[in-house]
Amino acid sequence: MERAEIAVQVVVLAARTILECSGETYRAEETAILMCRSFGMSDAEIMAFPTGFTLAVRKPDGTTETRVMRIQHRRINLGLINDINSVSRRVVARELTPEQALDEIMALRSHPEPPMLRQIALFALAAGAFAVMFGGGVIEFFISCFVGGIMQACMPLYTKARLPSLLVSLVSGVLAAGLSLPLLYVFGGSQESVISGTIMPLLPGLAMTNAVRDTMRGDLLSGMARATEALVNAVLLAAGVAVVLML
Amino acid sequence: MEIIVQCIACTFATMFFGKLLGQPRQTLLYTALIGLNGYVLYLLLGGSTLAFFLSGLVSGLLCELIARLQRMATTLFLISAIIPVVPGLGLYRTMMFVAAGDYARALAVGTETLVGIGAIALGLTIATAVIGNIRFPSNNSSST
Repeated sequence: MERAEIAVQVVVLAARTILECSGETYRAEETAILMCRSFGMSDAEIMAFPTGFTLAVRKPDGTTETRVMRIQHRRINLGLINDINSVSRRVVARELTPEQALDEIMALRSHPEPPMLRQIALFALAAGAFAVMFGGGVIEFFISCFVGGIMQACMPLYTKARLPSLLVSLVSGVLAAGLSLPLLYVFGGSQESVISGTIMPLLPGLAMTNAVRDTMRGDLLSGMARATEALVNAVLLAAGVAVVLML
Repeated sequence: MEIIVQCIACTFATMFFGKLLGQPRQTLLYTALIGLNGYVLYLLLGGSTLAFFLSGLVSGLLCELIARLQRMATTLFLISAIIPVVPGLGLYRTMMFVAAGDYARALAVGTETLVGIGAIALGLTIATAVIGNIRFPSNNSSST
């Protein structure tokens, strides 16, 4: 592959990875433009949305290359956004050639997902700690941990079943309430702190934060898209809880 | 005493949550402390809408600042730092009232929750607007 081709590939992969990890839209755009400039392609335009982007660059030989990329699956991975950010900084500082940058980004992207058991333990502990924060005691802590652990353990199943991400909120809400109620019935404890504790880690804090940040950058479309995502997620999560409480 | 236990729980909850989202290790302590600070502020102000706004504002400012000092993206800190004040309890109470058919109270609590979320967002917005566009001289890349 010729050098310019590789450079375009690097830019596309960087922007794609940021969007796939639920990074801000303006970050994807800025990273792409800055990288293009460092690779000697000053005439570049990118238009990114949470669900995809279009990139057009004028290569050094005078031809224009356009790439369209659809982002199908989004997840949250702040560490990877940070890693891509530091690669892009080194590119801008002219420390990396396109070939090296491509290798680095490929290596970062091929990292395996964090181990499932660790994620389950973290979700469980976070849910338990939130339950205590909402005034729960020892019993509430352990019930929340247990319910939270099961909720996280079910996440890979949703991915496998290709459940739309909005439905995941609904199902998780149902699980949170549906598992907590019988346990609370057997062991006693405050229903309020357990259920609010277990739904806390699923509240769309990231979508809300990014909605604000994108809007502030003048990225109105992305801001609205993310605000809608946050609102619908929160409402469905709450609806899942309500359905069980009504039974 | 209860408050102290809750504050400790808040610190750990923020840390576990940050780790769950894949936050780099060196950011965890900062977010936990900013989260705790925001939560204490929220409790001191009595959980009103103003409390949501001010803790959003202060957490936002601290995160923007620390992100610049650490040369890392602000979102890395911000997302878990504000999670303790996101009104999960309000959401749950709203649903409790809906389930019980008490729509008047559901509407009251629900509105309070939504306004709370809006207040946090407004606080963050102002924080970003104040510091967001300042760039440290040595920091000339896409670092905000």
